[in-house]
Amino acid sequence: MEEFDLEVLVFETPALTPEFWDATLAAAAAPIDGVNVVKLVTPDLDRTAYAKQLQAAGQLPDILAALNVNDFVEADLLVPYRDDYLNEHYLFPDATKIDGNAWQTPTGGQIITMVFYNETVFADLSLDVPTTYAEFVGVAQAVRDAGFVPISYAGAEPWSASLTLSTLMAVDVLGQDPDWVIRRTAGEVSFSDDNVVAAANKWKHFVDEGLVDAGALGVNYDGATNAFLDGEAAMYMMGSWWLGAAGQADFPVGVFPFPTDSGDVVIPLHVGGNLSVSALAEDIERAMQFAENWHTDPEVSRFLIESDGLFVYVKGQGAPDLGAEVLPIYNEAFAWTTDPSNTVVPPFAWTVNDRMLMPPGFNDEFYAAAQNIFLGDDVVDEMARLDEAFDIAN
Amino acid sequence: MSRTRETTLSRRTRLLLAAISVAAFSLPLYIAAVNVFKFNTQITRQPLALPSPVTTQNLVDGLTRSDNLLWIGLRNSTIISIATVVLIVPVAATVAYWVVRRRNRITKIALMVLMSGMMIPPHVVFIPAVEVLEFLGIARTFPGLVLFNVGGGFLSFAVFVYVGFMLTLPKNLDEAALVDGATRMQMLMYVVFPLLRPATATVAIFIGLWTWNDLVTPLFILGPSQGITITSGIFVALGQYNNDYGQMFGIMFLASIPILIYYLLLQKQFTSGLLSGSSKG
Amino acid sequence: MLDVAASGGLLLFTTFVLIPLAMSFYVGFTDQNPLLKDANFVGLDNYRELIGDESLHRALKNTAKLTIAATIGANLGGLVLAVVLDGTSRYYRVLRTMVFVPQVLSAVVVSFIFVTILSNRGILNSVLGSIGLESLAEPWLGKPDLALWSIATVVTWQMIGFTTVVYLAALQSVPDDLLEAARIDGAGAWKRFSKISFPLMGQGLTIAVTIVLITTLRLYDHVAVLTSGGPGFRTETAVFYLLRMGFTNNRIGYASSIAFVLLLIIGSVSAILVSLMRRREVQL
Repeated sequence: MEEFDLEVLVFETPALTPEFWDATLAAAAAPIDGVNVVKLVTPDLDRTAYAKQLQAAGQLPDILAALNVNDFVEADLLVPYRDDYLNEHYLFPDATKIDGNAWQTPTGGQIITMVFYNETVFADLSLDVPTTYAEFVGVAQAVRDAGFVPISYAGAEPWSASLTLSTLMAVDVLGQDPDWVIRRTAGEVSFSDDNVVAAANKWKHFVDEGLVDAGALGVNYDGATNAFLDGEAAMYMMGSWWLGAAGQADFPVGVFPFPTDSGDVVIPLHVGGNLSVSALAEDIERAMQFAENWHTDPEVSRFLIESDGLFVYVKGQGAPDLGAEVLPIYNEAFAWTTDPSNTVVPPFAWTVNDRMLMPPGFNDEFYAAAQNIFLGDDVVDEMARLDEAFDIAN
Repeated sequence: MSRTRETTLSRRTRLLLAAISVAAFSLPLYIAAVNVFKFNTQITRQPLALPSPVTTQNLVDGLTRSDNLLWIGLRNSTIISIATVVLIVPVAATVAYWVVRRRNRITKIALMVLMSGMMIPPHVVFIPAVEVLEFLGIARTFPGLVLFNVGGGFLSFAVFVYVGFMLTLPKNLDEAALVDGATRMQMLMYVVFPLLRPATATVAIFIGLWTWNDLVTPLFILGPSQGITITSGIFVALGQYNNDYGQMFGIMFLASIPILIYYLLLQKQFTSGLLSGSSKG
Repeated sequence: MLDVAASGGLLLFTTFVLIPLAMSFYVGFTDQNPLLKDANFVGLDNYRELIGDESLHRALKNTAKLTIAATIGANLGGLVLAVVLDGTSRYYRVLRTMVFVPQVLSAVVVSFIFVTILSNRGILNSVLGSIGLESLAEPWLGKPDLALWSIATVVTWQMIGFTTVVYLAALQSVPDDLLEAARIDGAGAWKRFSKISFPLMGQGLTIAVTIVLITTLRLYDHVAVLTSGGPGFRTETAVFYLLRMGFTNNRIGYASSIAFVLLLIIGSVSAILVSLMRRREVQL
């Protein structure tokens, strides 16, 4: 068979290292004849925006990692995964589908977000793990009054700045109305509705009460992580990927789901995959074969479980199946997602599937809204601005 | 300034003042330099202290990355920067000479249009420029990027510097050669160009620096498939090492050394060239 | 022959600047999307929209603040450093070389150095803490106003490298005999500088001010590394907003119309400034 270059656009982070990509991309290509993998790395810009730049410049790579697929699907730039492949390999083959097609594999789940806490601090202050929102605020206030920062919060990067607001939206709004985003697109509900404003007001309350550090918009993800690891903050609200990093702490780390008013447990669970295949790929069949190989490589699954705390949904490749080394809190958090008495919703402005289709650029507006509320902007005005941005972008 | 009017005492005070000012100004550079040779634990705890123990681990790690990011970036940026400078110097000198010696309505308009090129945010022309390059069959290639550099906003600056400098040259200098039967091109090559050394040094320094340090143009015009340039490579590493300051300082140090040496080699020549670069034409 | 050779350069400029510029001008009247080939002609819609676009106005205001601050700061700083460094011994030569270094480094490198200094747990706050001035510690990149001034400071610092070199060259081109004559007439150092040197430095002033101005009006790299335009988009510059509209919001058409407004602003501001300053230049 003729040789060809397969361009794969990936992103590198402290967890997803160059070595990880080099090894697993090579392994996925090995069984396919004539494939020469060329790894391209996204510069530290918004990955999706960078992929759009490449497409505008006529150089869309064959495979794209962790894309916000929405816009690309509408422009017919991606190839969906085959149903028989999805059914054969995945526990939830329909979880990532948009209009019946999966443009990313349902590889695994992430809770966005959950609460990590310093068990030593909780014990010293004799605090119990909260189960309702009121208790949670009480605990945070007690921590504050004891002279700690209650919640370590990374406000510098827009995506991390929005995590709390996104969680509140998921828990309070989607928890009551899982189809809220569909209905927002249809114009039946709005950000100015009382329930949404109330959720956003909780975020404002967090800030006003000093439950997050006043200077937190200058703290980036690593800064917030280090503040928690150094024992400066008692709690850390972060995605479940941090389960892969919590072992660095030199104190016991506990976890609990972000509590609701009623105490019912709502878990914002993102289900997604990694690679998408370009419809412009030189050899779509072999590109797809490559992506399929990569996703079902047990070494990939093991790495994602151990380093990225992913709840892997590839059949036969869960943490126990692979004997992956995980912390007990990984299993604890995983159990929340399977407990039938819990409600599972997609995290707001994060997942992309039928229930969570945002217009282009809207997620960034939402992230900015979280920062604006932090800066003291009026919540009602900010929600009205989101409505406007949603309508313009739609 | 006069070299005789200072007393020894005030001369010493002045030097001291100058040294203190520069030390204060260079503090951020000091921070960048000392942290290259420290372990992360010391960077976090004592960012201002001298390295103790001294380590070259950050440099070694940067140079031995499995993806060869630094080596590829250094090679690509060297090729692109040298090619851009080598091409832009004769092109700009010729255009400037034409503008200065022909001096008619056409050259005046051409100069004005060229000067306006300095004001265009390059981001405006990237996407259509890719279409043009596609049409020419050199999209996503080194020659494509180099030609875009030579023909774009950089040319405006280079012509600006040359025109200003040429206006300070006495006109009869090359008129005399003209009488001897030399063509204008011969005069440019053999008489005028050697006199332009300070201006050429200015152009070479700035165009070299800008090409080397350019982040966005290679991202658009070259794209990632031809391999990364050094500045976009730093940006890539920033994503991976955003919590590993030692690595970042090491990579940035290595990426900056070649361009610093380049500047030190050329700097003697260039200030006078820049200054006459105000176009009076 | 000369005409043919020169037209080669002009042809390059036409190919890579003028033609793309014309194409981009056309795109400004369409709804071009970066992911789609086809676009619809929308007339003046984009231009009408940008008149009322508050995010754009904020980005332009930020750009104006940064430009004014950096232009004044870098030129004053450069002038002062040039006067201080205008000596002849080799020590001065070493000092002068050091001052230019920031200009040699890329904006990405310079901005990263300052991130390590200005972030909340960065060097500045920890130094303030260790000398008992914790109360002065601030989220230098996390409060919108402070963050904008932080960006201005970084840009100014880097541009001072450039302006100092220009002003040094200008100072050294002032004829010694003029200064010597003034000294014999009893003029003090300040008077010699303000009455003789400075007026003769007009040409250097024009270059330094224009280059700093044009650079800051197009600012992008520093903002991308220091704040990514945040918090809450409040430190976005015009070019940053333009790229966000183009590649995040899929609106290349709208981004192109913004680009032309920006071009118009940069063009007229620099034209006015240059002609004003030209008038002040004193020729020998």
